[in-house]
Amino acid sequence: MLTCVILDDEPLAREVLERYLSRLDFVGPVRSFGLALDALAYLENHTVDVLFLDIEMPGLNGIGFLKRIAESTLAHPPITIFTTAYRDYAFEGFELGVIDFLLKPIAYPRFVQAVEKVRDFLALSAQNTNLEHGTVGTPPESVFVKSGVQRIKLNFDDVTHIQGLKDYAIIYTDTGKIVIKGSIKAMHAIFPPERFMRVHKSFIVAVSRITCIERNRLVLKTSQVPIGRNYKADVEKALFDRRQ
Amino acid sequence: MDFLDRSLRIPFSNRSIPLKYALVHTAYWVLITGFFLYEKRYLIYKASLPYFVVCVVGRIGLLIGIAYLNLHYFLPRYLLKGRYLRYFSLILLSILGYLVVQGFYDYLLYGFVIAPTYNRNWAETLSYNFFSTLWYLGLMVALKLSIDWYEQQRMLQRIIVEKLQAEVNFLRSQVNPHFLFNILNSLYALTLKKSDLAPDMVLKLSELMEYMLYDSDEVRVPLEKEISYLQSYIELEKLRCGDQSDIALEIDGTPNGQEIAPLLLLPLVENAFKHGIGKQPDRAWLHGTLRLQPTTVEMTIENNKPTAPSTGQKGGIGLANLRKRLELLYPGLHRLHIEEQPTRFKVTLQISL
Repeated sequence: MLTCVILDDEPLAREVLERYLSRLDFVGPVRSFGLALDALAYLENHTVDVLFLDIEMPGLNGIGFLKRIAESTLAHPPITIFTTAYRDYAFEGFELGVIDFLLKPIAYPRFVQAVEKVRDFLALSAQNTNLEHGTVGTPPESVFVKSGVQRIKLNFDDVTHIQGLKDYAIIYTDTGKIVIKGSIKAMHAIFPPERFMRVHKSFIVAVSRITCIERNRLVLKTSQVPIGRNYKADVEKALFDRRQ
Repeated sequence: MDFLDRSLRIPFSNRSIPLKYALVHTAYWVLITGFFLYEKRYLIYKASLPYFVVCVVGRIGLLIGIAYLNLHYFLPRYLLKGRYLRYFSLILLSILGYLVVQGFYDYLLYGFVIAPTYNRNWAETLSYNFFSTLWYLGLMVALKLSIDWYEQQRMLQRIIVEKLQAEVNFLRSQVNPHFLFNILNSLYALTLKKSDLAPDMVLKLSELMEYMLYDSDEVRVPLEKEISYLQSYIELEKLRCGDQSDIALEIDGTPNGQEIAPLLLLPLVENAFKHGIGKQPDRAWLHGTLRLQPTTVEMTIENNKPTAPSTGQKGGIGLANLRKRLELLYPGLHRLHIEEQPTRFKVTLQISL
């Protein structure tokens, strides 16, 4: 069961999230706060799995709040989902180590997707899965993933993109996702650079899976990946050169 | 003033000059001619009328020649381009030319025609002619440069005003998208729980949209409309802040056909919501008063202030922009007073319509 905390200064915005959460059977107790300091005090004394955090709040805003959490000595810092009305801002926020972004007004299916992402992340990261060093085949076609006593073969062809989250990496494939212990930097070293491109501080994408490039994001078949400000020039150059 | 804005064609050329310029210059030369006529009037009886006429006409003619050579040729080509040495040598040279002609005539006049007080001293007339010419030329250059400077200042002023106006138009045309999506989110929440407040909120929102998209483009809008817009905005914000918040706008007086530039009152309220209220949603308060008098409108907004400095505020028409707009739209007719205390924030805006 996921324990949740909602922090938003608008009562109606909190209500929507509360209502949504009550529909999910894998969600446990939910606490809502309108004030950042109250939420902070609660987090210091309770273990919370998910934090729904509004960015735009008077006083201490969502970003400041995340920084406070990072500085604090919480044993289990919650996994954060940003909720915001700011379109421009959204993708930048991945830099702060949040797992997902929900744009207001928040649609239910999209909300479920985000919460499931957290649930899966928590479940999968507990399995202690590791990527085995060294790839298979020339040119490399796959890599072995060690999960418990099992060794699973992961074909590069199946991977769409990879998201880094703290000490973990979430590998998204056509059939699901795998959470692996290891930073995005470590992933970058293993996945062949001619097929996988770093597009953001927290994202690597399979070049062949890109269907569309927008101003600050890449569109894949079933998801979207932000382009980091520092990576934008490289991404454009690489994609353009490949086409020629 | 239309008459003065017309221009005059110079005969035998395809250039034309503004009528105003021609009039000012003609007046200047008439004045100088008058002065010469007065100064040299003794020549009429000392020499004779023809000598007097030739003396004055020659002097004025030569002066005009040098003056315009200087004004339209030497000045723009050398002085204003920083080629001072060349400029001053050309001025000296032209004055020298003038002195040769004038000196020769004076020598003839005073040395031979005006009898019996022969005065054949070259140096005396020469120094007089030199300094008088220099004086008239200097006067003209000073005049010309000061007029140019004045024109430049006026142009600069106009550019500043236009730039400000463009800036204001741009900011005004931007509907704060963040605000809009937040409202939509609140509205979504209301519809989700089938609240009876939802229909009213939709109407308020569409009223707001109409104002922002259409009315705010007008130069002036009826005060009544501006107030109803303000009320809609406050109602929407009230809904977002929850029932516990203490938000009220008191209106003292009734609008009576007055007009006001759009979006001047709103920034004060917007600012209060952005920086004050919401920090302590259950204890937040905002009290506004709008005092309407036949020729003035006075708005006071008072709200509680968060103790921690707020960060990351973006968008909206801020107070700095409001100040700029007021200076542009109501110069000398407004008073914006901001009072900041540890726990409260008070803004007073008075406009003479």
